[in-house]
Amino acid sequence: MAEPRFLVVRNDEEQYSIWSADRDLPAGWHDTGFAGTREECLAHIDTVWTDMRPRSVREAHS
Amino acid sequence: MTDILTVSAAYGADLPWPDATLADLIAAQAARTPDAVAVRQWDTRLTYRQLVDRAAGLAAALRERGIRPGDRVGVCGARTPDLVVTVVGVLLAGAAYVPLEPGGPRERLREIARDAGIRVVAGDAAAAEFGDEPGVEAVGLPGPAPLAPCPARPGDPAYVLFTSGSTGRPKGVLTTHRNAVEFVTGVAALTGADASVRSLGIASLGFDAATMDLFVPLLLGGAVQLLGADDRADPVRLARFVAAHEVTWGFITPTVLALLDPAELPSWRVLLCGGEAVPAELVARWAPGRRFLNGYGPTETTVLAVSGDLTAADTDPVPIGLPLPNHRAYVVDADLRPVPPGETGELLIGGPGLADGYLNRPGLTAERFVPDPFGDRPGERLYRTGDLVRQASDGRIVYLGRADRQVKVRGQRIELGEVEAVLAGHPGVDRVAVEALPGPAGTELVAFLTPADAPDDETLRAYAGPRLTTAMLPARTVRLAALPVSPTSGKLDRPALRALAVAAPREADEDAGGDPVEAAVRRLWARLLGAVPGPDSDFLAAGGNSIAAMRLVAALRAELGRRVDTRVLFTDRTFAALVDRVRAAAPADGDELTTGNPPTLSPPQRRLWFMDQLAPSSAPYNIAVAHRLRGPLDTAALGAALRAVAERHDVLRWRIPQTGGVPYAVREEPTDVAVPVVDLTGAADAEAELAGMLAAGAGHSFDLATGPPWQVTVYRLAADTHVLAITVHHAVFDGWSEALLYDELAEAYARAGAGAPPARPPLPATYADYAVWRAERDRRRGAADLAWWTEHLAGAPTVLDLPRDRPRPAVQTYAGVEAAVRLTEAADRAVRELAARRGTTVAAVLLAGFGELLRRLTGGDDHVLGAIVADRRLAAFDDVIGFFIDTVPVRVRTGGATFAGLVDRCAAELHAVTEHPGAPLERIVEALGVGRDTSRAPLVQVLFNVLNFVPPRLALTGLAVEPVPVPKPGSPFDITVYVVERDGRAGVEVVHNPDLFDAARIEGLLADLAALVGALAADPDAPADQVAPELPRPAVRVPALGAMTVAAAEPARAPLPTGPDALTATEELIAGIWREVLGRDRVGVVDNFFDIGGHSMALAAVHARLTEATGRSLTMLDLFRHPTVRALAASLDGAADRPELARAALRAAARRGRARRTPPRRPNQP
Repeated sequence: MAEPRFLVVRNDEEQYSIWSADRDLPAGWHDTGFAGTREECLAHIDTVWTDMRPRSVREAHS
Repeated sequence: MTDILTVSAAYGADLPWPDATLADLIAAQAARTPDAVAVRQWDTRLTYRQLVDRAAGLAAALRERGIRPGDRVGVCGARTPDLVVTVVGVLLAGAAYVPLEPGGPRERLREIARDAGIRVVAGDAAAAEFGDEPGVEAVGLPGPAPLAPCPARPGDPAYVLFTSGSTGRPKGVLTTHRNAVEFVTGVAALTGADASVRSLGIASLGFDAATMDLFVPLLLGGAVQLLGADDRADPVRLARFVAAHEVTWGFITPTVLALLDPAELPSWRVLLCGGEAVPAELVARWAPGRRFLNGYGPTETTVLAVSGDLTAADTDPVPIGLPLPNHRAYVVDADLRPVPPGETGELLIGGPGLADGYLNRPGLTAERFVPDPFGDRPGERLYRTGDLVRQASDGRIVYLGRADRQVKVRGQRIELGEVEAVLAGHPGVDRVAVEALPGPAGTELVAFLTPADAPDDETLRAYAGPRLTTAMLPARTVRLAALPVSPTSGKLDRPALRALAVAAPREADEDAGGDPVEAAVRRLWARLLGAVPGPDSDFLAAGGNSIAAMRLVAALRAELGRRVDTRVLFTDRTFAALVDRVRAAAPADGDELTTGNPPTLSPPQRRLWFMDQLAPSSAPYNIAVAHRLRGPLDTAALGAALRAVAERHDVLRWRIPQTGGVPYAVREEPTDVAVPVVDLTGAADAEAELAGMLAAGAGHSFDLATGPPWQVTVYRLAADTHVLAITVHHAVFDGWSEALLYDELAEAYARAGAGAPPARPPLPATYADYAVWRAERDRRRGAADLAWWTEHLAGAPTVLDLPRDRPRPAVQTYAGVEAAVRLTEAADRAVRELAARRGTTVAAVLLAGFGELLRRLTGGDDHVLGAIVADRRLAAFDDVIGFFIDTVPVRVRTGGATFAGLVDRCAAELHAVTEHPGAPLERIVEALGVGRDTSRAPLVQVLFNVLNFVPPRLALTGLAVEPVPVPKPGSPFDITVYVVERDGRAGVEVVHNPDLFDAARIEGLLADLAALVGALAADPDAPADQVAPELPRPAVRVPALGAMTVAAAEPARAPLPTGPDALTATEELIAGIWREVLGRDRVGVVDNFFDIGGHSMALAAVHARLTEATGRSLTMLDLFRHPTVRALAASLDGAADRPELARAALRAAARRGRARRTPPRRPNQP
C-alpha cells in the first residue's frame, strides 16, 4: 500500500503546515508546490521555514 | 463548511482582550495602584511600585547587555518574590524568559540554554548554576531604575517553556504576550477574578500553570502568594501557607489537592484543578462552598483551553469542560475528519491561545499545528493535542487518554521516547523500552533494558540524573536478555512488556516482624512505593519522589498520628532511618510542627533579648556550671565532643544582632569549639584563684549580637585534676538543656577518646522549629489565654515589696548573693507526707508555706510571684537544647484557710498557670496596664522556681566528676527561690539582691521559712495563720529604718521648656520617631510612651532610631526612665554623667564597636 501523500502548505502569516493531498485545501492556505510523504514534507519544512515568526510580527520589527 | 450539529465541536464565547504586552499591563497596573501588594511570601511583600521599579532595574541591565525583543533570557532563581521581579524584568526588557530551575538536571538545563540561544541568565541562582558556562553571563538583581517602556509588541514571545520531546530532546514552546494576555482575560472572565485575587503561587516557573499563578493577579491588581520551596513540598506547610496568606484563587493538581483538607481552607473560593485526571471523589469533597473548575490545556494552547465548573454530582470520568472564550474545540479521527458527537477522537484546539510553535523546530511545528478546515477563519491553525476525548450529551468534553506515547507523571508531560533515548545513551545498555504503568503512588515509569547484565539502578540513576527530570526517571527497571517481540508484526510487544512489569519480583514480604511502629511504617511504605522495604531500602531508589513523600507523610500522620517532615525522606533515606524518625516524631495534634526552619527567634527569646539589652551586663541571664574532673583529661576529645554538641544543636551557634531595634537570629557554621586551658598548677592558692575565675567566668558579659552565646574553660589544678567550667547565655539554654548537654558530652567524649566519629543522628527538630511552632501556637491561642490571665489576675497587687534593709535603687540592679536552707528531717517527712496526702508535689507545699510567710511579712493575703514553666510540650523538642522557659505569674492567696487548704490552692495554681502558654509575660504585663518602673521588674519581683529539683550529673569516661559550686552571677529579680533536694531532703536556695537585703535578714528569713513549713505541715488542718505565730522572727518582719523608699532619681538637669508650642529640636526629633514607631498621627510631649501603645519591642525600635539620629550612646534604660517626649529630650539635652546609665552606655558602645567575629574575652587566658 502506498504511503499517504501530503502537500506542504503555507498561510498568509507564512506559517507552514502539511495537508492531505487528497483533500481540499482549507481557506487561507496555499500550496507551496512541494508534495511527498509526511516525513518528506516535514523535512522540507525544516529547511525552508527559517524564520518562525508570523509575517505580521516580522514586519512590525523591520 | 461543516454542520456543527452533526460533528463533535464546541465553541467559547467571543471576548475582546487588550492589545498590549504583559509588561505594559503590569506597568499600567503599577501606575494605578502603586502601593497595593503585588507579591507576598510570609513577611516579604512587594508593592506594585517596588515590583516594577526593581524589574525596571533588571530590564535596564539587560538592555545594557544588548538584549532586545526576540532575544531569550534565562531565569534561574529561588522561589522568593525576587523571582517574580526577575520574570517581569526580562519581560520589561522586551525579551522572552526561559525558566531554568535551580537544582534541575544539569545537562538538561544546559542543553535547553544552548538550544534557546541564551547568553544571559538572570536571577539569584544564575551565578551558581551558570557561572561556569562559557558564553553565558549571569546577572543578579540590580537596584531599582526608572521605568522605560517595554520595546516588545504583543506578537513577540513572552516566554519559552521546554517540554519533553519524543526524540530525546526537550522542545521549547514559543508563547507570545498576546497568547498570555488573551488567556488571562479569558480565565478572569470565566472565574470572576478581579483585583481582590490572592493567587496560589505554587507552580514551578517551568510549567505553564505559573502563567496563571503570576499574571492573573498581576494584570488585575491582585497579589501573588508565592510559595517557597519548602512550603511547596510539604502538605502541612502548604496548608498553613494557604491559610495564613488567605489564598482566594488558584490552580492545583489533583494529587496535591488530595493531601489538603477543605475545612481548613475556607478562603480559597475559586479552585482550578487539572494537569491530570480529576477524580470525582475529590470534586465531591472540595466543591461544596466554593467554585471548583476543571482546567485542561497543553502548553501549546497557553495554559488552559478547556475548562468548566464541576459539582459533587459529576461522576468519573468528570468532564474537562468547554472551550475558553475565543477558543474552539473539535473531535476528529486519524485523518482529521470530525467524528459524530459522543464518539471518541483526538482533540484539536483553535484560538488566540495557540503558540507560534516550537523553537527551532519548524517540521515538528508543522506536524502539530495544522490548517483549520472547519471554521470561518481563513489561514488559522489548529493544535493537535494528541489527547483522546469524546463529547458528552451536554456538550462538555470528556478526557479519555493519550493517542500517542506521551504520559503524565505527577502532572509533568513526558514523552516516553525521550526517556528511552537518554537511557540508550549509556554504553552498557543495548535496547530500552519505557512504559508508564499504574503504580502505588500514581503513574510510574518502568524501564526494560537489555542485556540481562545491564548497569544497576544506581549506575543508571547517576547517568540519567543530570539528563532527566525526577519525574522522568524510571521508578523501576527490569533487565532482560531480549525485549519481547510480537510474532505477527515483528515489532516490540508492549503488552508483553507490561505483563513482565507486573510479574517482576517485589522485595521481601510485608510481614517481616519488628515492633508495631516499624510494622506500620513498612505497611505504608509498601502501599505507597509498591515494594516491601528492608532496613536498608532507599526511599529514592525505591521510586520515591516528592509526591510519594507527601503522601507517605500524610499517611503517617493520618494512620499513626505521627508528624514527620517530608525532607527526612530525602536526607535520611533508608527505611530504618525513617522508622527511627517516626519513633522520635511528635504526635500530630492540633499544634502543627514544621521542621527545617531557618534561624528564628522565639517570643521568649525576644523578651530575653530585650531584657538583656536593658541590663548593665548579660550576667543575670547567664547559666554557669563547673565540674571537677579527676583523672587523665583528653582535651582534644573534649574539644571534639563540644563541637559535636554544637553541630547537633545549632542554637549554640546563633548570634542575635538587631536592625532598627528588631532582633533576629543568624546561624554560624560549626567550627571547632575553643577550650582554653588555664594552668593554675603553679599558683600559691589555686583554689582561691579558681573560685575567683569561676565567678568571673560565670559573670562573663556575652554580646548576643556577635556570639557565640557560650564559653568553655578548663582550669588545670594538677596533672590529673581539672575543673571544666561552662557558661551559657540563657537565651540559648535552660535547666533541661543542662541534662541534654551532659548526656551528649559524655557520649561524644567517650567516642572521641576512642577515635570514633559522633554517633547521634540529627535532631528531629531544631530550636528554630520550636520558635515557629510557638509563634503559631501563640497566635492561635494568644487572645483566649490572655483573657484567662487578665481575669485570673484581676485585682491582684502588681508589686511585692518585702521588708528590706536599703532603699530601692532608682534603677534596678542585678546583683545576686546566695543563701540556702534545708528542712529538718522531721519537717521534710511532714512535708512529703502532706504532699502525698493532698496528691501534689513537695514544691506546692513549699509554695504554700512561702505564701503564709509572705502574709506574715507584708500583712496582705494576696501576692503575685513568678514561676518558671518549661514550654517543652512536644516530644520532638525533648532532645533540643535551647531556651524553652516562660516566666508566669502565680497568684497565691492566703487568708482564711488551713494549711492543707493552702496547699490545695497552690497545687491548683501551679497547674493552672502551665495551661495558658499562649500569652507570654510581657503581654500579660501590657494587658494589666502595669506601670513601667525602672526600679523593679514588672509584675514579678519574686521568683519561685520549682524546676531542677534534682540537678543533672555529668559523667565523663575515665574521670571522676563532681560538681563545683559556681556563684550565681546575678539575678533579674529581688529574690529568686529555688526548690531543691539535697542529700535526700527538701530545701530552698535563694539568690537575693544585696542592694536591697542584708545577708543576715535573708538567713533569718530562710531559717524561719524552714521552721514555719515544718510546723504548718505537721498541723495541716489548723487555720494556717494560727500555727507558730511567733514565726518569723521580728527582725525580718520589720524593715530597716527608711528602707521602704525608692531612692530618688537624679534631678532633671535641664529646665523643662514651658508651654506646648515651644517644642525644642530634640523634642521634635523624638516625637517624630515616636509617631513613626507607634503609627500615630500625633503624640503629646507629656504622653507616657507606655500609655499610648508603646511596649518593649517598640521601645527597642525607638532606641535604634534615636541612637542613629543623634549618634549618641543612649541606653534603652534612658528611654524607660524618661517615658515622655519632654523628659527624654530634657535628659538628652542635659546629658550629665550618671554612673548606672554610663555603664549601660559603655556596654552599648562596646557592643557597637566590637568586630563581629571577635571571640569573647576570657579570664586570664594564657
